[in-house]
Amino acid sequence: MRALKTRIFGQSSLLAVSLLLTNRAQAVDFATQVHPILASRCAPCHSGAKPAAGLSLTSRTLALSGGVDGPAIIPGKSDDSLLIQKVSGKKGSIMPASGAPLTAAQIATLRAWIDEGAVWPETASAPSGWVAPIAPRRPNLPEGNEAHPVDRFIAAYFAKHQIAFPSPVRDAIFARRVYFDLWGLPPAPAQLESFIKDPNPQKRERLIDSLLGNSQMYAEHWISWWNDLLRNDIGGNYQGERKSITSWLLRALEQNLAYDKMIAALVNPVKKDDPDGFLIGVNWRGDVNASQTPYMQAAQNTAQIFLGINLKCASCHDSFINRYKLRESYGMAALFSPDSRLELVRCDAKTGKYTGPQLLYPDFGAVPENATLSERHQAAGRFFTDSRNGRVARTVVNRYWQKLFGRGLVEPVDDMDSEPWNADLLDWLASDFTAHGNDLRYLLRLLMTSKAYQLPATVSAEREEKPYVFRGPQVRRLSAEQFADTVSMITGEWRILQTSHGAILAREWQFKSSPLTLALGRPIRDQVFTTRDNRATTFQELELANGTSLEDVLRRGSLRLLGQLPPAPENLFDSGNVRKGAVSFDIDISGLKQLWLLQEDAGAYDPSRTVAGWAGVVLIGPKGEKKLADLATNSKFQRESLVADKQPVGEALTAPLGSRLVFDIDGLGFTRMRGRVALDDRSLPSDIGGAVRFFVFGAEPDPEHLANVSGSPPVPSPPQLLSVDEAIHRLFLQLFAREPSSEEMRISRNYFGGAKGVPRLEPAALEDFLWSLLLHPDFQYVY
Amino acid sequence: MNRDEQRIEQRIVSGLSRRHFLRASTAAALAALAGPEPRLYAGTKKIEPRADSLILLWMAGGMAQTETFDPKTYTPFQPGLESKRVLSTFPSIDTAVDNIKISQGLERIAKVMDRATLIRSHRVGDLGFILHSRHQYHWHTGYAPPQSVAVPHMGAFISRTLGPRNPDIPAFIDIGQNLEIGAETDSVKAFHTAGFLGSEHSPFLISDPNDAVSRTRPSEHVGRSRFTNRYEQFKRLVAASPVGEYGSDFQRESLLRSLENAHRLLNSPAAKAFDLRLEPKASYDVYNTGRFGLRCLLARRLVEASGIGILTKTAISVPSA
Repeated sequence: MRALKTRIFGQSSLLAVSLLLTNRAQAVDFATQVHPILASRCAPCHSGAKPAAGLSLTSRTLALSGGVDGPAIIPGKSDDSLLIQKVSGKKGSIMPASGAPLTAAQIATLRAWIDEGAVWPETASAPSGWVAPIAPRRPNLPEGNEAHPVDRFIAAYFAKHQIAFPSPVRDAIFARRVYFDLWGLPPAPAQLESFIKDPNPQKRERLIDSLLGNSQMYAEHWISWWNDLLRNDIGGNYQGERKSITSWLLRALEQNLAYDKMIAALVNPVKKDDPDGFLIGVNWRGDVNASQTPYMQAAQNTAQIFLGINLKCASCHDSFINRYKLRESYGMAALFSPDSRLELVRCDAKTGKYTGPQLLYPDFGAVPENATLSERHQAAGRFFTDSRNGRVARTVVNRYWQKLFGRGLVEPVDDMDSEPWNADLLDWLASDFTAHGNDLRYLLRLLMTSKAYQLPATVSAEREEKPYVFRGPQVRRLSAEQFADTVSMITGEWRILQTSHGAILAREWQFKSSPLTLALGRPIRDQVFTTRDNRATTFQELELANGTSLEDVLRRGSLRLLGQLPPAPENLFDSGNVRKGAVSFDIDISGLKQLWLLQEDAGAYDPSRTVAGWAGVVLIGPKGEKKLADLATNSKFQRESLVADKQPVGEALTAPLGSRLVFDIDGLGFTRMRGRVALDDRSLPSDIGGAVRFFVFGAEPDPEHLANVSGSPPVPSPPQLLSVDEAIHRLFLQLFAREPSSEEMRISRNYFGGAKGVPRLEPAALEDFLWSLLLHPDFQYVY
Repeated sequence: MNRDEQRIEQRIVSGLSRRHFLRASTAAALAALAGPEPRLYAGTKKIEPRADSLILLWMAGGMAQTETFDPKTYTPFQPGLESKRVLSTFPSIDTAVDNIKISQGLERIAKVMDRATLIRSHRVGDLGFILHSRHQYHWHTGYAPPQSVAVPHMGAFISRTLGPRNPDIPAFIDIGQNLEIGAETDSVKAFHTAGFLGSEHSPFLISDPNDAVSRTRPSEHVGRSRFTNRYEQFKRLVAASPVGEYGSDFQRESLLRSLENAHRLLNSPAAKAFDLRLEPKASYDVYNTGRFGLRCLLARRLVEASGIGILTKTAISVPSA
């Protein structure tokens, strides 16, 4: 046994030297090494509007311009830099003026940093003179020959920047863009070919109209973007409250509900089907930080989504990065809180100061403090749909511009106080949008029929040029849903969605996130997401290159495309999800050779302790009844008495969840089978949380197709592939909207053994070919 | 205890002692405690970091602290014992450190207590009665949900701050967390991300340790030679693409580069560390107490791989459930 001895460790100078050596090994990192020193030892005096000695050390620009004694730093010359001279005590009074001097190691860090050029990433841009207007504004269209109003502005902009107006892209690229932007899927080869061959000069506008006119395809694509924006997701179980708004949202998109009406329903839900889940937010039981109560969340989210204003920083204290104050956040929160008078809590400390409801733009009216919650909701509804509130239209127009062009008129899109690269265009679009009834499909049509939208996409660089100059839309990465849906479209393999009335084949948006969609940028919708991060990373490509989600689809998809996928047997009985009690069944089993009885885990918390089984099951035949338990079988099961929902159901055959009981009944002449399936009450406690689904099949089932699927797939299934060349042409057209070059054709044939003789369509080869095309950059981006 | 277990124990116990570390930090700690307020650490002696890797064993579901690391008065269980009289139902045992006792049953941990820091004083606000996921979120990220931003897992912080991004082994590995099952999946997913630090600091998820090798090798269905061949064909196909003007597009280049990195990882010999089948049977059996034990074995193998300079600055998270 060793006791803990205490001894003062007296080697501080040695430590300092070793630290120095370590620091010198690689470039000084501003964020982790320099900033902590400046922030804690300098900024208390050398910051703000009236910094000590006129010197602010809060940005590189300010440090370089310096104060009354000149610049604080001279990049490359630490000895000559005033900062080093002061902290070393070599010039006048030593800095910092209070507390201990900087250590030798800290001074060494600052020296090294300055000698390496004083790299200082700007986190906030220098304040510009731009003040974003609140009121709407309708500028005149610039003079010019362009018929389309957006193109008038762009032509004038190009002229000013001495950019020649490029020609629009060719039909195939245009069609692929438009289909992906409106339906989230590429055009099928037949659709692509007929569009290219169409001689009608209006065909591009007509294509846009026809795609917009299919409400279901349009809504099922755009709902993902709206789900991100409104923080809506399925199945989130936060042990508190969270309510989905999916049915309202889908309907709103299908019926093209005007944007102002959407906002009104979201911030003031009064009707039965209104989306009250939006204001409910994301909640947990237990204590919640004052800045994250549901009404504070509502204030932050409505400001971000509808006005492009960040109130999150201002929810704990006056914001350091923008002009919004703690009081303003609470003022907006008081529109949504049970009590109309809220105490301001600053950095977790109650301030003793209070506020009632207060609109962010006080000129828009006052809300009486004694207003009921319902009245305050109405006030919020009026505020966000007020015709004087031009910010609302500008914000959504900007978001749509970013969605279609890859980069907004204002960036970041959640900071609408920033200066647009074309304020006239933004203002005109916003006022035109409002003048046309806040119609979102109108807005899409307006933007997509412009020549600007049809320009060749610009090649992206690692960093955006400053200042930004618009030259056309950007190359954009496919979203997770576009990727997944396209894979399903070309293979015919769709995911199965269990609904309350059966199972259907559904598009990706209807499912919870999977490793594949998470890797491709689907967000966890605990926060509002207005843009997605789907940049390529090693993890993302690991998932694409080797993940099971994609591999399984391609494996089955190849078989299906070659007509080699055996049809999945349909079940004769499907109990649906059973979380308590028993379900009776009485089914026809005439002519069957086998019985496969399945009990699948339907989301049990602890499947290993879930007890479920087949109770009192008998088979009826010409010779009378026979108990299931008496049939010969190799399957292992127990016999137990079960009690389901407090009712004894008698002796049952039980087996672990996921097991199959297989019985041979060939030639035994049974015609019916009846009995009950039951979940035992022992599985009900919350630490077991039993949930089971029972199936009966007459032959070995396909584990991925247990539920009988009704209805047709979201898009028609692709025809069977009959030859290698046909397959190559078809897939190139579907995924890249073009024919393969002769070189690509040669390489593609090699997948199918073309180098060694006649190429043949084999499942493995087709899988590999599909994999290659799906990972190909020509597919992964919208050009 | 058999010879293999003894050998493993010896290896642990004879390793670098943290008493050395505790001595070094004491001066600073005393100085901080001496003043009326906590002092700004920037001005005091810096603790030199020595760890190359961090293994976080996250044991959700909670063994009561009174039966493990914070024993109270031993009240042996008898039928009929009033619940208010129950304190600890195990007697406590001495450890390698004077005056620190833990519960009987944890003898091996007691032997290495001098290399541990035991924290008994952590207390959270009411985050909801028996609400695992909320506490887990808090512990894994440092922030109690809900939060206004997507908060990163602590492993992502480590990956971002310390990790030079090693092309062969990810900087942050998450073993055993299955994000697809269980009642609280969405809330559990919420803190298993890199959040605002960006997706390149995401955890590398291995849900089943026996299956870890499949995450770092071409799948069985595809097989190594097919996997390699199709990637070669893929590169030729991409090179033949006539989409000329976009060839230098940064996003495209970045995609191809990341794909190259992924393939390198999938073909890397360093990935042998992920293969539990390569562990000598005797040692494997010691760890094979269940899923948790095997996850620990995988974590140990990954950290040991760092001994030959392949794996550094790794954060590994191993949940128990």
